[in-house]
Amino acid sequence: MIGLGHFLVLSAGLFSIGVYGLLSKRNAITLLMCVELMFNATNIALVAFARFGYNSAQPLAGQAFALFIITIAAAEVAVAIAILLLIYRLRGTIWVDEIDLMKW
Amino acid sequence: MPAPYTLMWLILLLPLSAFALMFALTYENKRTSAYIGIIAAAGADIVSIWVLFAELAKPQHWQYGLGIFSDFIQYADIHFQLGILADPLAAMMSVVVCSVSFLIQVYSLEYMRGEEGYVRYFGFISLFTFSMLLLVLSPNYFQTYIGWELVGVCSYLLIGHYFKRPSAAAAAKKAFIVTRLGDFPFLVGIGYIFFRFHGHLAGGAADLDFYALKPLYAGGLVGSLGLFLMAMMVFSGAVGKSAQFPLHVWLPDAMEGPTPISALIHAATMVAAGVYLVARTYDLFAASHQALAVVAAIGAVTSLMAAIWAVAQDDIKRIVAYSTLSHLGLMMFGLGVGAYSAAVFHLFTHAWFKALLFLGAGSVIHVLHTQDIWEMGGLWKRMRVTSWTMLIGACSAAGIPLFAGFWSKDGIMAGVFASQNPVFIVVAILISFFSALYTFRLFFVVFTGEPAKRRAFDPKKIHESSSPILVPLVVLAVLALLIGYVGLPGIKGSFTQFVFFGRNPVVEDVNYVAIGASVVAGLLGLVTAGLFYWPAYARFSAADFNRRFARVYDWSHNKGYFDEIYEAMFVRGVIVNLGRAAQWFDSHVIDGFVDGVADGYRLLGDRVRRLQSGKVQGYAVGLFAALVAIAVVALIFGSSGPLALVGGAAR
Repeated sequence: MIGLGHFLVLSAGLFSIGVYGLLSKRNAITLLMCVELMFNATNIALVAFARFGYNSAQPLAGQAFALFIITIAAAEVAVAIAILLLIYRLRGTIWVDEIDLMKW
Repeated sequence: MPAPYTLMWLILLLPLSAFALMFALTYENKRTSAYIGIIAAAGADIVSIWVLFAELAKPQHWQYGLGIFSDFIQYADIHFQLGILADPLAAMMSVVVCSVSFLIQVYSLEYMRGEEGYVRYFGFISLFTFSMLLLVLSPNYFQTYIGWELVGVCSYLLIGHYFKRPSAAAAAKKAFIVTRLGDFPFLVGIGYIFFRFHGHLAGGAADLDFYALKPLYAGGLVGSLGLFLMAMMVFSGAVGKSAQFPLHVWLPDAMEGPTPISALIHAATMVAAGVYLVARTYDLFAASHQALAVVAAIGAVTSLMAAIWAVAQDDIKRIVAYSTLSHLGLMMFGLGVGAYSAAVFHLFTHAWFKALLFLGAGSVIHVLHTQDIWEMGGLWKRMRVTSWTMLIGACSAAGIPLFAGFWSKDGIMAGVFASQNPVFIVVAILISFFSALYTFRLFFVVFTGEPAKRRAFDPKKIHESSSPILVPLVVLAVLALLIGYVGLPGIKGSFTQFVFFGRNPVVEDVNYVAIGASVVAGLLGLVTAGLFYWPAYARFSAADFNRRFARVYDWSHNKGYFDEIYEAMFVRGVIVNLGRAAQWFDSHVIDGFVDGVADGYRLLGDRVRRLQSGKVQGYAVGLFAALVAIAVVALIFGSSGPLALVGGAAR
């Protein structure tokens, strides 16, 4: 049967792909997409735990948590894209390795 | 306490306040400063003389601490005191110091007129007078050492008066360092004496008190080796300060200082401090025969060598400097053979005639502007007073009968002959011969004959010096002539009955053999000098003699090559290399450490700074790396709590 492990492996895999993309891509929008990917990976993990009955006191906590995450992810992406638009206006670029003013 | 003793603190206070006043208030005003110094010295002199007469009437050993200085250091059972000691020896010496200081300062009014550093000069003379008196009037080793170091500093300051001249600066440094070599063992010796006798001193006396220690030296607390070491360590201080062999090399160079300073410090007083110290601590030396033998040997060697070297010198001040060396050696020689009163008496007379010789030389130098005796000559006709006073000084120095130096030297001769040591006797006779030889060589070359052909000064312009210079000369000449009579042997109330060692004064029989030998040797020296150097009667040529005995002449003229030997052995060999090693250590290790710490931090900062690239992905990498690390740790160690869940599930 398909057990918890399978879902967690799927989640881990998706998360890893998201991390890889986050760390190696230059395009800021691509980074945001990777962050979304990571969010969804955690959602899968949470729902899987709920499905397989890991919390007897609150059986649907995982699913509820996943809903929260979806909401927050949406808000966050909206803000992030707004910031990115402003950066593009000021710096004329969306390559993240060219945006490095916040340092010493 | 009777009258003069209550005022003794003035002796110390007056010169010290003069020094302070001159530097603090009257530095701009030359005349006032000079007069302050002179009045202070005169005041201290008056009190000293009064005390001396009181002591002569009834010798006592008053000793008291000065108010708050009475318990200068008092902790547990350690008690160091600063105070004043009034006994015959101290009273006599303080009169010498104050009087010579006074006369020198009067002399300097004229001699140093127009010279730079005028007030500084007088200020340091007052400071020196204070330091020397602190030493002389000291009741214990502690205060003596304080005064000892202070006079060393003053000597440095005064020798280096013309500090802009490199030779003067070097000479001052040399004097200080060489005497330091003697001072350090002295300090160790004081410590040794303190530790051995601490707690055994009678009647609550301060530690290291001279009179309290007197009965203890031979009392069995310390063995003969210990006593010998103690005496030798104390003596090493004297060797340094009184320029005995092998630490004699600084005294001739000290002639770089102004001539009145040479008279004050390096003739009458500071160099006498070493002899004074041995006299003051004589009980210690008397407790160890070997120590006395060493003292006598070193004194004899110094005296003879210096006398031989003086014969081949051409600088008038150097000749008198070697004469000082020779006489100091003679005093040590006398102390070593047990002629305590005679040696101290010679210390007394020497102060006067040596100061006279230096001041007379200064008078000549002041007028002729040269120190080379071969540029002088024929001054007898033109500088009458100077010539007569120098003649008296020379006769006294050479030990010509009836002059002061004769009486004191005769006492030492008697002591040497009494020792019955043939080597000592021969050396003493040779010393007498050479003393007369170099002294009269000086006199004949400078004063008789015609003015030298090679000279810097027009002979018609030679004139007698003015009163501030002449009056001290005359005073000293009178003293050099007559003061010897206070020391006539065998007469009641004479010097030898005033200052003596032991419980009772020794009444000596007059040793005619000793006197005779010494007088004959002296007269031989005089005649030899005349035969070579008095143009009117000369039979031999000094130049020919020096050429024939060139090796001896060179050895003598070059002062035994001691400076060269020390330079090669110690300065070049050891000190320069030590200096280089220390310099290397300082710039590589110490600076390296300090710079290294700074460099380390800078590098660290450099590296850490790169973490803050400003690039988001860089930070993200760090973040995930940490996450991985935590995960690994959890996997390995996860057995309880939330991490266990991760660990358990993965398994």
